Amino acid sequence: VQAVTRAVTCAVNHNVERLMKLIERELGVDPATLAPDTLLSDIADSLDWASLLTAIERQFKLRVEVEHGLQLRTVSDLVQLVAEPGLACA
Amino acid sequence: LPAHKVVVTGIGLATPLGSTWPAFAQAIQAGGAHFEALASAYIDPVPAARVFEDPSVGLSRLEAKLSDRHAQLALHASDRALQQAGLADQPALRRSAGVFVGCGSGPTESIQRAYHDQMVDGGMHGLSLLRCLPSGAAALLALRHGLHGPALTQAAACASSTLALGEALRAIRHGYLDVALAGGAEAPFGACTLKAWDGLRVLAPVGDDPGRACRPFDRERRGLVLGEGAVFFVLESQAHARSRGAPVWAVLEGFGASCDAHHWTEPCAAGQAEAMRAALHDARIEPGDVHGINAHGTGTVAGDEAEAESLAQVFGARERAPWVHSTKSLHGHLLGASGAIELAAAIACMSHGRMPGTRNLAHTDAPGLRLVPATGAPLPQAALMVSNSFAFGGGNACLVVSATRDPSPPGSQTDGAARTDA
Repeated sequence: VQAVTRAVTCAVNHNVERLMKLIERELGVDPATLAPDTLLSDIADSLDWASLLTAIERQFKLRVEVEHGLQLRTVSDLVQLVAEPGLACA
Repeated sequence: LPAHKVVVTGIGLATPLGSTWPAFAQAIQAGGAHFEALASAYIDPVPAARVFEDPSVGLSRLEAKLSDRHAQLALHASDRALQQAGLADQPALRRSAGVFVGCGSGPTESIQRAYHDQMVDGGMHGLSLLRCLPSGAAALLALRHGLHGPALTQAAACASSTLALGEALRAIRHGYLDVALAGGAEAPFGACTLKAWDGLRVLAPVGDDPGRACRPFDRERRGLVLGEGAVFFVLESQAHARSRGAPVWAVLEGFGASCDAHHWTEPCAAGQAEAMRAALHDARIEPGDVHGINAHGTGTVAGDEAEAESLAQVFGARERAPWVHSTKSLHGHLLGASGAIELAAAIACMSHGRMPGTRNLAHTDAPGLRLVPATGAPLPQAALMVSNSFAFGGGNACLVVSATRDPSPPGSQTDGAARTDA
């Protein structure tokens, strides 16, 4: 069980790292300046948001529908979006 | 509406002949661009005139994401035009300016990349739609410089930027605008774009020397040589330019346009003549008033032949005709931006008081043309020139421009105030 837990944690951490790299690349924002409750509207305008969401979809092989996208408000929301260990294998 | 005289107060360049006015003007007089044998994925190497500066440098993060290469070149050329016009630090004076961009092909590199990314690599960039908009360059110029007048894009193949300049001339002349940023941009060297050009069989073979491939009006001409770049002008009403003590490098005297409505690619002398006559009429001058012509002169067999005929129709027998040259063998064919770079070339010639001969022209098959000899031809102190642009699709557009000779032509970004209206 411990080994499985460790593997899942590792995979999720890896996903978050990849998310932070995408944020840095697409928004030009240093991940070190972010907190879980940082509002996405404070770090991205509509164009940045479109860039980031498309990059996330491509990187993690997922699709964020419009309604779901509107509910993503904070960095924490984005982390939850990619915190599926299975995505690491995508 | 009152008719306002329209003057050129700034010229900005991002071209195979350099990015500064002195370099450009000197290269027009003697030299020309470095032509290379450009290798690409789907065709044999072709001769090409490229811009050496990296246009992605100096852009904001968002501009870099949103701009095709032609738009990046346009951004740099527009910076330089506004700088030369003394408007770079005057946001209030340029606020109501309009933007007129001529581009024949549009953002072809970005379209190729987006489709490749999607179909081959599994996903295009999230901003691909904006980056692939034909009007993207105009929007970016307006955004960058805070220009709140209309932002228009003219697409009429190789006549695009001449049409853009002509429409800007009309907008200012008839009082709709005081200031316009007008010109053209083109970047045709994406692999798929080159393949498309190759299909039409109009590109000159590279031969032993790419620099000799473009041979306008020469009996050995074999086709056109592509070039890339952007040239933008600040146009103003004379009253507006005077009110702020702006330098004036030239006067846009007239504009005429027509469409052959004849054939997609076979040029029609009658349609070309119609555009030239319209431009002369617009400038209120007679054919005999013109001193020089910057011909469309691409170096294709059919194109040069038709232009020789249309020039003869408008300007008459060789003895009375103005001097004719083509500068495409100096800078390549910039397609939608060709009219803009050739207007700049005409102004450079008038500033120097001399038209150079056509590079690579040795033996013409158009004896009726009064072609500038290899040693060049003098222009008077106050000269009038015509610049021709003829396009696939039958579009024709011509500008009449005047300028005075100046021993120290425009180039210094700060010395313009000493000049008076041309």
